[in-house]
Amino acid sequence: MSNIDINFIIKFDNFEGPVNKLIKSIRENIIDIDQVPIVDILNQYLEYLLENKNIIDLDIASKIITDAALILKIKSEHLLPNMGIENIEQEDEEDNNFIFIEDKDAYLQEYNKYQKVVEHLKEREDNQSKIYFPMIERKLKENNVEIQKVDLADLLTALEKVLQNKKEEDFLPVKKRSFTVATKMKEIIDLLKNNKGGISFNYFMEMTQGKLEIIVTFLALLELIYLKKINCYQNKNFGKIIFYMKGDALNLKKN
Amino acid sequence: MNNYSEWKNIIECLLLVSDNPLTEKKIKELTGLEKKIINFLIKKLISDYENSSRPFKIYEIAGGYKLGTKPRYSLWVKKILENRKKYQISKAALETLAIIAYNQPITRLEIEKIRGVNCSGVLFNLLKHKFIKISGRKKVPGNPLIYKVTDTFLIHFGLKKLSELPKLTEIGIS
Repeated sequence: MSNIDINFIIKFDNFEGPVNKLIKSIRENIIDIDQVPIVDILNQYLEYLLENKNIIDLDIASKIITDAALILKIKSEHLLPNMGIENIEQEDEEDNNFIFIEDKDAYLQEYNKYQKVVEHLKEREDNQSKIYFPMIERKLKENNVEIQKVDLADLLTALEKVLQNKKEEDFLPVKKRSFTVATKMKEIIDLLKNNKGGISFNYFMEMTQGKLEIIVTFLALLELIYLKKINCYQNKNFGKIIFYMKGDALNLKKN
Repeated sequence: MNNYSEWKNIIECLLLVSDNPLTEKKIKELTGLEKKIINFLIKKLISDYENSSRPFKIYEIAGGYKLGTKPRYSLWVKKILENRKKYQISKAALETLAIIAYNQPITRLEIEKIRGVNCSGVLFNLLKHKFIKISGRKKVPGNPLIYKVTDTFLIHFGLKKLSELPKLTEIGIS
């Protein structure tokens, strides 16, 4: 590491050396931070990167950035107006730095722990992948592709379709809105209770007038699914989506 | 005693055909046997398999029991199950799983704080493969979702229970 590290030398008026040396010099007040040209350092760094882009070690490249950022921090703090809290600030400078490094170490330590867990899990996974469990039941389910669970994406595409078809909204005389998500949910449940075979998504959508009602109905359906009051199934890909009451699942399958 | 060996066979059947690992509770529900007896019979079954040259073994996994093949024969079993490959978890997903397993229930933000990168894609995939589940919402501003690992996770890694994982503090020392 140190080999390549030393490769990057910063040069300006009265200084020449690696980044660490620059920081050290600034700390010890050998160099006035005001005299450090950040832009020059960055340009030199970029040049250095371009020259060595094929061989450079990322760890080192990023380490230099960290150091450069530290210089930038010191300089910007120095440039800011002093609000008369010098003492604290000076202590802070040390403290901040200390906390920063300690934080980083703690963070890395924490992170490394998880890396070890990952190795452990990986090992377990490898061992476990050699063990097979008979899965007759699941195989049966896989063969039975007739009924498929619907996911949110299916519902959204269905909704999109309906909204597209309903683009030309009928302009009705202004009417007081007589539905909310809550009332819609009740309506849907009542309907489903009377139709044990289930009701298709399109049917619900045909009942509606206007975009707002479509959306409210859709939200009501989603809420009911979320509350696990109703279930929905799709007979095949891109087929009709059928809703039914949760308890009626068995009836449906028998049909 | 003869009766017991019949019950042992019955439990063996159940362990063979059940989709998920069978808990002692579930076996009790099915057979009406006392837990003590069930435990005894399963122990007997396990040792039966261990002491014979059968290619099967009863695994204690995800809080239950399941009959499976011995690792030694994976090479052959794999051949016939070619189309049903086991899901391999990516490194990022493993990392996320590890964090969830040790800190659950945990929000996405808390996971990202440890990992230092966005995790929504990884979480989505883990949810899809049922390695984790949403267990509710945290009662803090924004009510973020909280995640937990599932039995699928335990099965995939051959864990009896979560506490079987090495303690984080122990890892730190080693």
